[in-house]
Amino acid sequence: MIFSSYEFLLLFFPAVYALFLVLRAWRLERPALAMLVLASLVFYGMWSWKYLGLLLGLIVINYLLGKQQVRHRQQARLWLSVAVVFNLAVLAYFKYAGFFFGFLPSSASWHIILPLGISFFTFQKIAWHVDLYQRRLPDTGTVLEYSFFVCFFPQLIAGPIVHARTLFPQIAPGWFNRPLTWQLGISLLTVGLIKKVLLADPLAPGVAVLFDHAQAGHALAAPDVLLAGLSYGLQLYFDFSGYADMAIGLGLMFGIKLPANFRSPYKSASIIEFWRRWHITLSHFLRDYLYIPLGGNRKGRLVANGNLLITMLLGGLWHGAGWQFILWGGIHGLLLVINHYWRHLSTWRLPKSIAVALTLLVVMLAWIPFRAESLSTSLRMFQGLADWHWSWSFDLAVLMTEVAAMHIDKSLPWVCAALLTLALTAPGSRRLCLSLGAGGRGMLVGAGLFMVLKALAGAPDRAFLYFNF
Amino acid sequence: MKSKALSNRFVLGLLGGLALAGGLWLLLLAGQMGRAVPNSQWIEKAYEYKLALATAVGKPTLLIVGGSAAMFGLDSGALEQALGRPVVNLGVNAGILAPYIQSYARQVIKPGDWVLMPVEYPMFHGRYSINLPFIDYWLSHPGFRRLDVNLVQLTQLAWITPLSRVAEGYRGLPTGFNVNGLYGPQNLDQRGDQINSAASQQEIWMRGLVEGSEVQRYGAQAHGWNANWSSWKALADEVTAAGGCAVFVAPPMLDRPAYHHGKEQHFYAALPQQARAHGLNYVGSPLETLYPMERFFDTNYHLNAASRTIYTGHIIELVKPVFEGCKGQLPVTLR
Repeated sequence: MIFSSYEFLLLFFPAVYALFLVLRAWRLERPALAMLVLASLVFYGMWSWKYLGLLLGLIVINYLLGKQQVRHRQQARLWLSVAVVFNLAVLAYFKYAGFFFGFLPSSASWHIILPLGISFFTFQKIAWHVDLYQRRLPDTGTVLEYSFFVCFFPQLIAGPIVHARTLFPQIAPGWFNRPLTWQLGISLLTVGLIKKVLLADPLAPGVAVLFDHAQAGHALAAPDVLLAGLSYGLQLYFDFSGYADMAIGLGLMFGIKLPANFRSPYKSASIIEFWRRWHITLSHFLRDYLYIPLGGNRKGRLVANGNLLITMLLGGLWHGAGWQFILWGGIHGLLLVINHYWRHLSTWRLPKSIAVALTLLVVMLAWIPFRAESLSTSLRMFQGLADWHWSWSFDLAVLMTEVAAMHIDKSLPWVCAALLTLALTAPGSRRLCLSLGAGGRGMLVGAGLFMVLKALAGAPDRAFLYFNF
Repeated sequence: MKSKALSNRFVLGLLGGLALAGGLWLLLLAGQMGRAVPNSQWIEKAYEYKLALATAVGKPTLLIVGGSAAMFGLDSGALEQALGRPVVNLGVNAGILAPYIQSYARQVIKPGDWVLMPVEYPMFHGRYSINLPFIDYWLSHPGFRRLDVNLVQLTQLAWITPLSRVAEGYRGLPTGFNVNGLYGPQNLDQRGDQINSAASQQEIWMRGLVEGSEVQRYGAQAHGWNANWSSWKALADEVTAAGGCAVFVAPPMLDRPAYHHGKEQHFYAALPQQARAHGLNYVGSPLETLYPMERFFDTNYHLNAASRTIYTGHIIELVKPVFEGCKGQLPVTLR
């Protein structure tokens, strides 16, 4: 079940929310928490009841390991190591066994299915153990609170990566005394749905055509390579930031404030700024739990940049078990190192418009290995950048037909131009919703939900792209 | 107090947004209703042709009413010879569903006509259902009560119609558009049967369509609340009241192992009895008109020309005694 489906929007969510409102009206905070945990498990179980067992098992084991750490403070480091190694081992088995042991003849017969959301909830659990160790979190919380922290359905599958230290205070006694910002919540949910269903999904066929063409061994000319990067970059942005908006909106409807994950990243004037605006909770996690423990910038510029490169390479690998993801992380790591050196060595800065365009260009080109099936496909696509000939033509009738069918293929360049303009000029979702006023937000929700539900009637199911990672 | 006012404004805005978007959508839909589109032109032209054939026959006729399974599957010439009266095959497309198929039939049924109905299975259980071919056809040929379309179907239609279909409606037919290809009057004989469907004319992609055709789950999809027996009974009663005779038979369909056990097997085995219990004169059994892959031309319902002879022979055996019996009950002028 995904957020952008009739099952979720017309059955699951209304039922859960109605129950929540009843329990809230009766001020039953603990039963409401239990109900949300149960609903979240059902939400996960709708994808796979088998892996629901894994999720539950991981919750129990991690909670017990956390308890051990708190009970035996003098051995906290040991229990932390056990917990981190255990969680990374689980992640490694499901996500990287095929990649690292692909050389074994028997690996061809392994059919390991990646449990949905495992990359996200593993990081959350590791952060919880580290926070306990560093005493940023005084206690484990109850098993109910911990379960809620791990599996609260708006953020269970694809983030934002939440920290227990920010979540636990929100569900502490008094949770129901705070006003419920449901109007802002449902507005953000609607904006997220619009981004996902009306903007991201229609790009999928055109993006697939370009990458499948390259995957089949055909050469792409430079404009098509750029278009492949740009179109996928836009699809991913509207898809993933749409998901984040929905998660944050749903959270607000339950009185839970989840952290922001995007702040108009394509408006960035440098790669450093880009990483402060793109997948913010992952950047923070990598900074706090990888870059800083590696030494951060405490041991000189050279080591700091080395740490940055390692962090980005591992960040790339976190997205998927493949050399193309490592290449993507490496490109971003290298660009960050260059950017940091430039800032250190020179006070001269490019004019903002050129800096934004340049950042956009490299970010979009870097999406190529991220989307390509393999490293060889990525490299073949990059080779095409030397071949400059245009094959695009504008046909208004085709554009109108494809837009009406929400199936963009031949009109990809023109639709991408429009969406890029939108990404570069439109305010962030939260700012947009707040700026509208109550009546305007209501209009947005009414008209937006109508359009989304209408578009979903008969549309193929398209899962969120970050469910793959 | 302030919070309540904000909530009221939000709810008002929400209702306004819904009304605006919904109203705009209905306006868009309404603006292109009745306009012809290329996709459904072959159906319209095929019916034009077949209705003209039926109208031109000046004496009691055997009319075949159904979808394309009848158009491909029945040899009207053989039926004419066996039953001794002119035959017009009105079968065109099951996708446009019972409302249109029955409406077209009513336009040409004359007193004393016999009606043979090899109706495709979903049409017995689609009282509140619609599909994309029906939407396509309805938007070009709208109607409500005269078509026996209900409000549930109309509501679904307004909701499910894709924006691309609306855009197509506004574009209309391209200048100089002509129906061509396998379907349409250009491939119908003088009795309305499909021509150019010999096995030797089957192209690879057609074979692919047959092989790739869906395993139907009509048994699982047949729900009592959605049953449509009454509309067929009404048509049969009209035929009978006009001194004619209406007989239902099973259409030909591609055989699949799934149809021989469980719910599906039960559905096909019980259908004749169920139809008779609802007042329809149903003869034969669906399990006798399931044929293997090589007998089909381009879908799981379209027999090739050689197999049409086999199916028609079977149908003649079934219906000849029934129609003979019917003849005895008629006034001499209508025999």
